[in-house]
Amino acid sequence: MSSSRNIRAEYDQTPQHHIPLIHSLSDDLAILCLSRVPRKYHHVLRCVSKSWRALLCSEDWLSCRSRQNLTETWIYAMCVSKDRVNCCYVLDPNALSLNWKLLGPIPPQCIRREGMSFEALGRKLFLFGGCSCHEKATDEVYCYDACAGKWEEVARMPTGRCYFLSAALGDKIYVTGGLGLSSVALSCWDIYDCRLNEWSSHQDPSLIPDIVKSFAFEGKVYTVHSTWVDRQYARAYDPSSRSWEDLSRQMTSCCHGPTVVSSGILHMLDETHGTRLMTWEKENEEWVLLGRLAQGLTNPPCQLVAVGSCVYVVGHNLSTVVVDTEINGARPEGVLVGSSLAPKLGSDVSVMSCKAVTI
Amino acid sequence: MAAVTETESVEKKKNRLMNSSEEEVAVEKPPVINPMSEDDSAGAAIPVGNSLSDQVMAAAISETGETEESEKKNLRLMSSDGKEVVVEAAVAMKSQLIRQMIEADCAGGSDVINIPNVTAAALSLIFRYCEKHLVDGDGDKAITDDLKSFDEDFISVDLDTLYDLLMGSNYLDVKGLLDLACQKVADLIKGKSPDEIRRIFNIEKDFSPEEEEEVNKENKWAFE
Repeated sequence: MSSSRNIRAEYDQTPQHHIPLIHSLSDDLAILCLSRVPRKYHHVLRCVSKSWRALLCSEDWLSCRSRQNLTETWIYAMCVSKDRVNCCYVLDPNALSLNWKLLGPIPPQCIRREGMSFEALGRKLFLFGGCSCHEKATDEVYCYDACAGKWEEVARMPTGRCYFLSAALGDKIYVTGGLGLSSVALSCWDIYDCRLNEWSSHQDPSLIPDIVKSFAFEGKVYTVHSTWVDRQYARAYDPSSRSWEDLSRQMTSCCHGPTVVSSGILHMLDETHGTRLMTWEKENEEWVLLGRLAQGLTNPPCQLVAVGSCVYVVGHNLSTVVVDTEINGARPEGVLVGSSLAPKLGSDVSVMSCKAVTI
Repeated sequence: MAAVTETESVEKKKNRLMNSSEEEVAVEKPPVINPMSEDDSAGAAIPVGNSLSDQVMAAAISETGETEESEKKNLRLMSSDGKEVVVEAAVAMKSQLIRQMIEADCAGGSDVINIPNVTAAALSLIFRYCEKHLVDGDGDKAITDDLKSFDEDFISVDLDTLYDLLMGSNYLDVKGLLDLACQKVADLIKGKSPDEIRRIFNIEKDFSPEEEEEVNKENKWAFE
């Protein structure tokens, strides 16, 4: 036997109690095979056996798909129906025919809440706070793990909040403002660490409670403030240095509609005069028109969500317009080219917020 | 022209130190010609100073050159079931494992490489894939289409053979075949129900009744 041959180690002996994912294959190879199964079949994989179900929730699964560039992004829309019942819909952008599907039931506590915040971080979706006619502002937080396909309650916020602001940055969610807070929390950032499932609070005297809009962009929380004399100004908060920066007044125009970041560029849907998609140009600090959407195509008020270079404009009753900003960037200021979808739903729904989750 | 031949070895576990005259008696194949030597007599001995690595690299270089010259070096591999598999060096070097071994000259003094994890049958199949894929078909649509249809037919095998190809190509590090085999397993799963998947892969349903109910409830929306 040639001694210098051991470049490859033997496969590990599986311990007696370990059930292989696929008999006759090592788990490494089984995972390589299973990771190639498209996301639309993952719910089937979860139903096969305990070990398959556990695999789909594991970090191994995500990193294997990620390494091979097999990840797929789905869009989740938090909606409220005409009778004030909350529901969540999901869209697979890669499906042959675009179709919004009703996700299973959301936690019963959240069904009639208003003023909740909806955020996505990694493979999880979060519903924070909220209130209803039966309860005051709550500190409850619910999390949907898109890998496992189930909801669970997670760490509660330091204070109850409703109609407040949130932004997801890195692996944390920043929450501030709103109604129903304890007095201590008035000038406070509450920060949720997704990995540790823990909240921390940070007092910030520069936090002025007149913020009307906030979003995450380039590692900062951008805020638009509105003073009582109806003047607006914009700032950006950098959590790593805990410092504020003043921004050009042009930024405040983003209050006219929803914003989204696509391909690293900030986009805004201005629905005041027709429907125009604007992009923020950093050098000149101004909004530039990317293009107009044909009249009647969208069903305002709309929410925006981005998958790669495609911006999804989701309006009333989940009517959706998909605009590829790369294709349209070549001919700016014209009418935007895109595809659209007008689903037939059981009842009227309004979209509150849309988020994307990549698995 | 067959790239691979098989012979039974007399003693399974023993490595024989090769001497070209003995080689020609035991196995009928074209004599190994040392490309560096000017002596072209049929019975040329492999000079002791020239390592296996040098010969293979030289043969590999000439392989990509004029094929009329046919200075092909064959490699001898010992499979897990004790059979010897002979294959052209250029074909075998599609396996990154074998390539690294040859380049690092890990075969030691002997000419037979041990492949303890792969059967002779699987080796033949794998090298058949490698031989077909020697041509790259860079951008040439006719070649890539031909390779694609070859791949589709090639990978349409029973599950046990598929596993052998999977494990063999993983061990030998033949990336194209590994990807092909993994994708085939994934294709077998797509569109099937959990029951069908369990039947194909012989997996036991190990949910307790409560767990099964929970799993079904969680995933009900996706099945609709």
